[in-house]
Amino acid sequence: MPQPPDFTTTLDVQLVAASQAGDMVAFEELVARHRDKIYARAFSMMRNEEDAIDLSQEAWVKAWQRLKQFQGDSSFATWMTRIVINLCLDQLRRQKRTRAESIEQLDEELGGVERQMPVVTLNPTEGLERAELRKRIDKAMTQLSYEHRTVLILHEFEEMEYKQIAKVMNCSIGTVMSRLFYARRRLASLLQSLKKEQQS
Amino acid sequence: MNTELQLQALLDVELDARETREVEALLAQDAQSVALMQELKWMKLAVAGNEAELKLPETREFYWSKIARTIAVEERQAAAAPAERVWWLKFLYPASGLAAMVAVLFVISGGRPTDGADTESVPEDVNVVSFRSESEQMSVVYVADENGNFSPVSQEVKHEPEADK
Amino acid sequence: MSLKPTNKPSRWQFLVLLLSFGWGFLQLGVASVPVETRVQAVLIWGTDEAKPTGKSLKEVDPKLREKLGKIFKWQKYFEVSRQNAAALPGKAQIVKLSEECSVEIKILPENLAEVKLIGKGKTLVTRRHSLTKPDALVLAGDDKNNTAWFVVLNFN
Repeated sequence: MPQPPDFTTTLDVQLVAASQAGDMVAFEELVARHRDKIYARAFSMMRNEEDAIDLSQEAWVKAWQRLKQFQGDSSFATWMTRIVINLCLDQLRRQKRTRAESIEQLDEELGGVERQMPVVTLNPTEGLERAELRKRIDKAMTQLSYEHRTVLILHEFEEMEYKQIAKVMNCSIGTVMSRLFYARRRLASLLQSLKKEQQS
Repeated sequence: MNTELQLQALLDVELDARETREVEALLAQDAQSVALMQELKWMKLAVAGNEAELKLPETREFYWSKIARTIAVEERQAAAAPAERVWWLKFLYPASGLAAMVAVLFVISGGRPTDGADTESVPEDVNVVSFRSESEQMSVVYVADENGNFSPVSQEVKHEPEADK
Repeated sequence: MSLKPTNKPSRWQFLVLLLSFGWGFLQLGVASVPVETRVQAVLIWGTDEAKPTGKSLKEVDPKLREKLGKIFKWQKYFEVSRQNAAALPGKAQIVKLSEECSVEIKILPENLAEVKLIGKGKTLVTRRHSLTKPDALVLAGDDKNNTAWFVVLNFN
């Protein structure tokens, strides 16, 4: 009886090469290795478990179909993450078209709101344990619009430069900068409120 | 670019040398800008590297089975798509589709050859995924239907009124 | 006195012959009684919500809950109904689990079971399941409001 190959010590690049040659078992190993990260990225953008599972799976299907295009300029994980980010953005844009915008979102789009917010003068994350900090950031990020959340994710988690974000989000660098600025300011304000809630 | 965005660009190391000098000069004489810069810095430090850690809420087998099935279906559809192809392509595509299907079934079955057992047939409008969990000793056939059109559990069971107690 | 060979069977030979016939008859008898396969079918509802108020739902046993929990994402698994049946080779056995759901089980040659999941009078899935493995067969699917249903079949 043939035993399934053991890929535990195989490098990603070797698995990618095997997958490019049509080896689906190697591709399954890549899926197993990176599925949590790809799902987490989809979830961070969609804030919905079902959408995140569906879109992350769609990303893997797309990756299999486009494997030949992967040249190894970045790591496989980075390449995969870009695919899932693009799929999430497409989905979010579609959803936005079909949904009434909130007043807050309209305010954000009009610009200028962030300048009216008072500056937070005490660090709202000081003294927090890492787990608690992560929890609060995650909670605060759910309250941002998808454009602002995405800019933060791409800049802080994916470490992308302004121009790369502009390309992915199909907008100008200026828009990226103002969205990032708003997102940070709003986040500071939300984290401050959470801190106050905790203290009271 | 307005001053606030310039401050942020300085923080994100997105300015050239001349712009950097200009913004630093502004920071040296404007307390408000310093306070704003501090807030932006706190947020940058707080967010970077502090993404919530999430795990996919599905098993490896179940998650993969849906991917493998979609790949097989799409390859089959691509093979079936009529196009102006040279005659041998008509044979090549179905053959590769079949090979992919066999590969998928091989992977799903954990590398064991199939003997006609553990196969399912469904009507065209029903979409299922099947897989085997070796560790839990379960063979699973899952009917994927996001609308939940077929529900063997009645509404009364799901929402029994308090009075039934 | 001389000892002469004889053509008559000895008592021992007769006994062996008798036992052989007896064994043969027994085998014939066993072969003519079809071996039944016992099946246990459980209909389960998976949800993340707390148990609905009422009395008829109970959580599935912890062992099964653990197994399902390792494969599926739902937090709670409630047993809706449970049926035991015996399936004879070649003969379809229908097990009704709810108003809208039943399974038809047919034992086929070569240790196979053919299971049809019937919903609203229509066959939803037909599955051929190998009985040589110890596996339970789980037929499942999406239900409304991000819940799910499961039909767990154990054969022995």
